[in-house]
Amino acid sequence: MLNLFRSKPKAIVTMAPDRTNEYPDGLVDPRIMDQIGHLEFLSRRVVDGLLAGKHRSTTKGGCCEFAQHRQYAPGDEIRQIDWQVYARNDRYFIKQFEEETNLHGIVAIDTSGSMKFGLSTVSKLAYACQAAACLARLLLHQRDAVGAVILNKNKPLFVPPRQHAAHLQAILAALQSAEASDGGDLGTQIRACIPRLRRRGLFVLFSDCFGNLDELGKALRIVRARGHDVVVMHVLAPEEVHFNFRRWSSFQSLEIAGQKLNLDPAAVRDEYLKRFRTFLDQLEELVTGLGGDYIRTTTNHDLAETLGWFLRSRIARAN
Amino acid sequence: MSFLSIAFLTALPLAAVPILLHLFDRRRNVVIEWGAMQFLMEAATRRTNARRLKQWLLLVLRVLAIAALVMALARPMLPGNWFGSSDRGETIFIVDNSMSMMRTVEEISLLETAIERAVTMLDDIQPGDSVRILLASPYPVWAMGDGVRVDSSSRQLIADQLRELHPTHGRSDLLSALLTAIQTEIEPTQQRRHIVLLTDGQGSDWSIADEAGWKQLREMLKSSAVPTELDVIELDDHSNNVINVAVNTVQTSRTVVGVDQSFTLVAQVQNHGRKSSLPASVTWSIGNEAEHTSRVSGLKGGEVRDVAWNHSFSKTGVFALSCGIDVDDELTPDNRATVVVQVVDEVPVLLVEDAADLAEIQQDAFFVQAALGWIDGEPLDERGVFAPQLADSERLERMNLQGFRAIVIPNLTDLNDEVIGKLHDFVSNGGGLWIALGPRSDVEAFNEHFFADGDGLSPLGIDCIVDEETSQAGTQTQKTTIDPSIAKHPATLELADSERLDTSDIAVSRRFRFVSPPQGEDVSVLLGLSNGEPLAIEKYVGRGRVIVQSIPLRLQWSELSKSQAFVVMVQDWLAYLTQPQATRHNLSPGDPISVYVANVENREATLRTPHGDDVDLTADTAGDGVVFQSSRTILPGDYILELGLAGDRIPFHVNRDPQESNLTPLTTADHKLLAGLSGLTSTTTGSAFISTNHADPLWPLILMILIGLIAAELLLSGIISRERFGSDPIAESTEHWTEQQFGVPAASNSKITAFETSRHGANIEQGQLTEEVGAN
Repeated sequence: MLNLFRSKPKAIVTMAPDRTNEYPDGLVDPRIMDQIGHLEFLSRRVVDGLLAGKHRSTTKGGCCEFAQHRQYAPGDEIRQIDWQVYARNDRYFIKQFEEETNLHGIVAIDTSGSMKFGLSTVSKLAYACQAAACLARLLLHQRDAVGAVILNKNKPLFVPPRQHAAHLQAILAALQSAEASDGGDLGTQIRACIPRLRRRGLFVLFSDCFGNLDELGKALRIVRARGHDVVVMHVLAPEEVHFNFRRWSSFQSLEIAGQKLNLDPAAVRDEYLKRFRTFLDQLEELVTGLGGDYIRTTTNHDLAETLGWFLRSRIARAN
Repeated sequence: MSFLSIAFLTALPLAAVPILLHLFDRRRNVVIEWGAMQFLMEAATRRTNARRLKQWLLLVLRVLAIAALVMALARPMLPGNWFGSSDRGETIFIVDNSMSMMRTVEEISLLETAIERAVTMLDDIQPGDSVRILLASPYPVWAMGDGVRVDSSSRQLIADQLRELHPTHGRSDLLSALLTAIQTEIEPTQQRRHIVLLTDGQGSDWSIADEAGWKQLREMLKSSAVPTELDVIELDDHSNNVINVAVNTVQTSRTVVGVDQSFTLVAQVQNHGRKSSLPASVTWSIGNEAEHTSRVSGLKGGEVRDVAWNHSFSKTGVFALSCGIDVDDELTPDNRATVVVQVVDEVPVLLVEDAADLAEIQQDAFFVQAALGWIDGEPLDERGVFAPQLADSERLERMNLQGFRAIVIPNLTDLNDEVIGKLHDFVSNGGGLWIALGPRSDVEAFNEHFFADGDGLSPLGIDCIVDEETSQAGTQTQKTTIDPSIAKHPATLELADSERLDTSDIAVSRRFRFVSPPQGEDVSVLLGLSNGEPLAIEKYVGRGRVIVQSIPLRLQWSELSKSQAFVVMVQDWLAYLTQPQATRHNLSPGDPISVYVANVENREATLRTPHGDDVDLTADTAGDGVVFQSSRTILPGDYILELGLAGDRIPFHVNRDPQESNLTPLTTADHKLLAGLSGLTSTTTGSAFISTNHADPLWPLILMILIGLIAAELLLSGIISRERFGSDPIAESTEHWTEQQFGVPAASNSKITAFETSRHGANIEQGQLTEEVGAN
């Protein structure tokens, strides 16, 4: 009863402090790297790369693993003809082998205003940046090339993929400079950066995906069509998922200035959750429908566990 | 509509608290910067009117619940019979069982008439109603305090209970009985109360002078929680013409007498009626045996006459002496009165003698001894009950004073502090002290030790010695004499009899003058002088009494010691001083019985009351003996204390109030006065009726509504709460989703989850690969 009259110490909920400063190198948490360092980020698709690596290459070579037989065509090297098949069938077949190559991974961070939200935890942007940094380090560690895209309506930033270890600093600098602001359509921003993804590889999107799902779907389809392995890491705040507010509140939009809504949260909770659930289902269906990986996580979850689970499941599927 | 506790209505604004809290809560918005506005905007526009209606309904229910609670506390009453006929009621019979109800009319006592009237009324009481019986004498006592529900079996039980009621010899207090009946807590199921007062209409029982009491009765009737009807049934209106001769009291000059010591008993006979009575015989009896008979001539209406009898006892003991008048009147219990007298061998008293070596008549205590019938420590033939023992002041310091009932200092000399302290203790424990000032008394020492600024044994200080003969102005000497009529005191009643005694002729030539008491304070005076100044004054110290006299009890300064009155004075005053330590056998109603019995082994005793009830008593140890005590003496009449197996019987008597013998009924003026004070609307004999407005209590209904409101509120708030927070939660992460799907930890079943999801992915991969190969 007394709580009814007790004034709230702070009327405006301030943003949760960014905990990334706790780490010596900013975004890459050694604890997380300890947990996921022994894992590998394998591409589930064939990728283009110059160097021998862990991933399947589009190039068929003669080095390691048998891939298929193909009918001989003029111009093929004679030494690649499988003479044993010729002896059985009296036809020329070329024996092709899988060749491993390195991966070009792109981590894309959504920096729209809604990513700033974080009430009881770190902001979604901070969580996303940390996850992106860890994945970038992991990829570089396994000799893959990593680049970064900061998706923003006004200040987009692209860090091209490089394979050398020193490139991590450039990626971390780009991630640290990311600030959530403004609105904008995420799909449009992704499409804007697609031309820069020249070689097929891995496209990892860190976003809350709020906005127009159709546009986002179109953009991801294009990415997918260009041969990229798409991973959408859907970062949400626990408050957005549960919506357990009990007091009358004034909700101010983080993306559109001046947009404000006074209401009794509990009264609209049912409707809100219904819509939110529909949105999540649509997004998951969209991503999995185009062959990508969908990982939903909330900022109150341990990043190491989430990434560990994701990587393990990917390795399992790759096998 | 009326309210029994209207003050609670001031709390009605509290009903607005839920609305204020609601508004207050709305005003205290918490600002949240929110990202997922698109879902919130859509959800806010979909808020249904039904939900809003539920919220408003909840608010209304809460407001109504608080309002109902406040209303129920204010206990509203609805006029008229809103809720149909009253189902159950209560009837209280108040039976006046005072002595006047023992009057016989046509050979039936009024009490029997009252009881039969009550039994008749009992038949008319509806089954289901409850009945109580209250007795009005000597004070309101419940004969049947718990209401008995009337049905076929209990009806006879109640009638039997009524027929077993006893009359008392006391008065009744009808006002207190009515107040008691009205104040009695009523059971919640009963909706009306009917009080029936059955009385003989005797005026003295009605306490008409107590205006405040009757007004209080009126207020209580008005504010009664249930409709209350009051029937006053006056059973007889012929009291004006009755003849009632009563022996009001029997008095004696002393209740402790010696063996063979003659004493006088005086019975006060009064004709309480208006008609003259016939001559009648008066019989004195001891116990149940008649001892003496005399005749009393006819008494006029209201006439009072004293009948005296001298008697002496030849043996020790406690005796009940009764005086009965044989007259044919309608109220016989008051034709007899009793007094209890204790006959003892002797009562030890101590005389302080500081001049034993002088001639007899110059000794301090000689005249006091002589007045008691003793000379030189030896009893004469005609001695009284008091047995004196002589001691000088120095010996007083070493003596144990416990064995004496009184101490007389005939000529006060200087006493040391220790002796004065002993005297103080002696008096505090019930002893009597008689101090006579004389030539050897020192003014300053007396004022310091005996007066001690009001804390000592003397009620006043002394000023100086006054020479009465020389102090008179003028040439003719005028003697100053004792004036016994200056004060009406029980110890000087006999002294004041100037026809038989020479008290008023005793000249005082010299005396000590008492300092006048402070303005506004009064001092009890036993004897005064003809010049208006006090000669003897008294003071109560603890349980005992002290008499201070300004002249010595010897042949000095006055002629007191050689007067006739001196013997009477010594006997009466010693009797008066020794009273506190004597057992009180004649009591007023409610006075405790306290008997000291020496050398008794059996500590059990039985007290028999006038109604024949036996009360078992257990003694408390006190010194060498035991003390039996009881306060169950509220009923006037004869009490007998039977001690142990020896069968010793000690009589006690609780005096009745002579006023109860006055059978004068309420007059028309009295009825009018009662009507004005208490709202008594009808004064006709047989029925008087007071009724309050019929009003039904509304709060039980409001409490039921309150329960309904609370239940509805709980139900509605439950529904709203379920709507608000009852939605299924959304899985926070894909990891959890898979855990819930398969029921195993994600880390260990990654392959299974991978298999489920990778089949889909593998198909696409395969298709894509084929497409690409084809392209190649």
